Amino acid sequence: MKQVERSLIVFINILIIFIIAIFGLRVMGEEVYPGYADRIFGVKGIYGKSGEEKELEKEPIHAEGREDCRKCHQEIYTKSNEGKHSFDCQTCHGPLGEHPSTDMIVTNSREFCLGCHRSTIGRDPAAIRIVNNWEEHGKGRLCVACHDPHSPWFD
Amino acid sequence: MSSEVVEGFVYPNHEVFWGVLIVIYPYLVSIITGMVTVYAIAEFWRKELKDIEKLVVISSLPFVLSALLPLLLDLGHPQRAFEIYITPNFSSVMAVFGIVYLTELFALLGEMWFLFRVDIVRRAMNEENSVLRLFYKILTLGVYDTDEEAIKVDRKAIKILTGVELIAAWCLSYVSFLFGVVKSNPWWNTTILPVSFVFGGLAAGGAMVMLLYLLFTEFYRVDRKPEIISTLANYVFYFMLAAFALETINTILYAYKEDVAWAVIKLASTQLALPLAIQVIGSLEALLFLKYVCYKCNMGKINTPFIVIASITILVVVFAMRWNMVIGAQLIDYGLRGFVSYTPPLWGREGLIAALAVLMAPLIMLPIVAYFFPPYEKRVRAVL
Repeated sequence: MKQVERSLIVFINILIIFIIAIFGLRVMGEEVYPGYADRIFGVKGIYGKSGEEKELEKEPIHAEGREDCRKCHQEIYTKSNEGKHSFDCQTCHGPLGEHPSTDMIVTNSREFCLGCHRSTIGRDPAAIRIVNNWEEHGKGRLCVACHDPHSPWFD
Repeated sequence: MSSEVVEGFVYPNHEVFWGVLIVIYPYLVSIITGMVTVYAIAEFWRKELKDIEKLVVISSLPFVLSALLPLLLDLGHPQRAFEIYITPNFSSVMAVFGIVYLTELFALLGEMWFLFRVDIVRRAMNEENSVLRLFYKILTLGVYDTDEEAIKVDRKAIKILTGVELIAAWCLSYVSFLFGVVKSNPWWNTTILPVSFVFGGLAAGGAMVMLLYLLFTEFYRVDRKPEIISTLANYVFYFMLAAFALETINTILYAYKEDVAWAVIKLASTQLALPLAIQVIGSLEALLFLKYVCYKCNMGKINTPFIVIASITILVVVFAMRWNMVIGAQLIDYGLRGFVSYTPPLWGREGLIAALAVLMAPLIMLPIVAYFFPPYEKRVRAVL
């Protein structure tokens, strides 16, 4: 029976470590004792936030939308508003980020345009222009060579 | 100034988020389930399988250890990997996985310790390498008695731990159907799915044990016993039959009822033609080969190539089943208005190379475990 006792002691020790970790982290967090850690340490709960929250906090949010783009790019803003591509700039250009100090990413590949304009089952041609013969149409050239992405031309 | 914004959806408005790594995760888990079940069969019912119990235990440890590898690769942030165990949440089915997984791991480790205790004590006393001797001395936990009484107690402890492990392993395989059901696709939203997938996993585990038995006997130069192969092949045959029959009956029922699930299957089968073909043809082929292997082994002959073919076919078939469920559940639009296609990339964290590395990880870990806890004594062939 000695070996069973010894192995049980090892197991119980591991269990105790786990339980201490669980309850320690719970006490630090907001789940069991809300505000408890704040009172003791004077800081916001170390474990009260989820991992995503912690990650998100590091990065300031920069997705202000098209009204922010308008401050500098009034011309394109007006043009885009009058055309068919009157949706948010972020849709193609991505969020603003640190834009004036860094360059924006602009994808102008055929695949990028076809992401919306390829024909797929259930994609409504009334809502979005479908290029049915995209394999032949303008073969080998970029879409933006002929179509202005900010105000695409339709027949 | 007009600021019209185009609203509405472009269907299908989703993509495949769970890639090939999430296929591997239930696959590894179901192999563990199968191996643990084979061990329990050897422990409780079939005395002729006693010969392979050490082999099964040491080879299920690497699989248990690498079961979380695909999840870790898929989610990223390895520094958070430990958080699943120390933040139990009983209202989330997925979070309970952490508890079940730990139960499984500790039961397996305990079982391994009791099973190898005599070997550990022997090596702690006779090992020549001083570092290894210290390692085994620590592992003995200071208990050196290996008389009849002590071994009897060991056997009893192993029996209890096997029971715990069996329950944990079967609970563990619930995650494999969870991945289909969570997506709530009509095809996989069926009550028969858990049973069918547990049986698929049992077949895969049994096939893996058969393959490893061939490998280990080759390496340690131990004589293969036909009755072991025969018993294993028989079990794997019936597990595979159950898995195949349940899925087929389910599909036929859908077709007969012209269920909405049948529409989903018809749409999905354009994208899943290859895995579906593998699943059906492979199952039938494996069943045939297994029965032949059984028949041959009962006559005392071991047909090694056929065993290898049957085992590998079952492993591939079960992988295809998992693929159909995890990927197939995501291909169809919820509004049944279309489907997307999925081809895994070659490189990258979610790519095929990473997937292959994860699949190989237990097999790479296995020799290391086998070095410290050899399942057989290596027999040196006498050279005259």
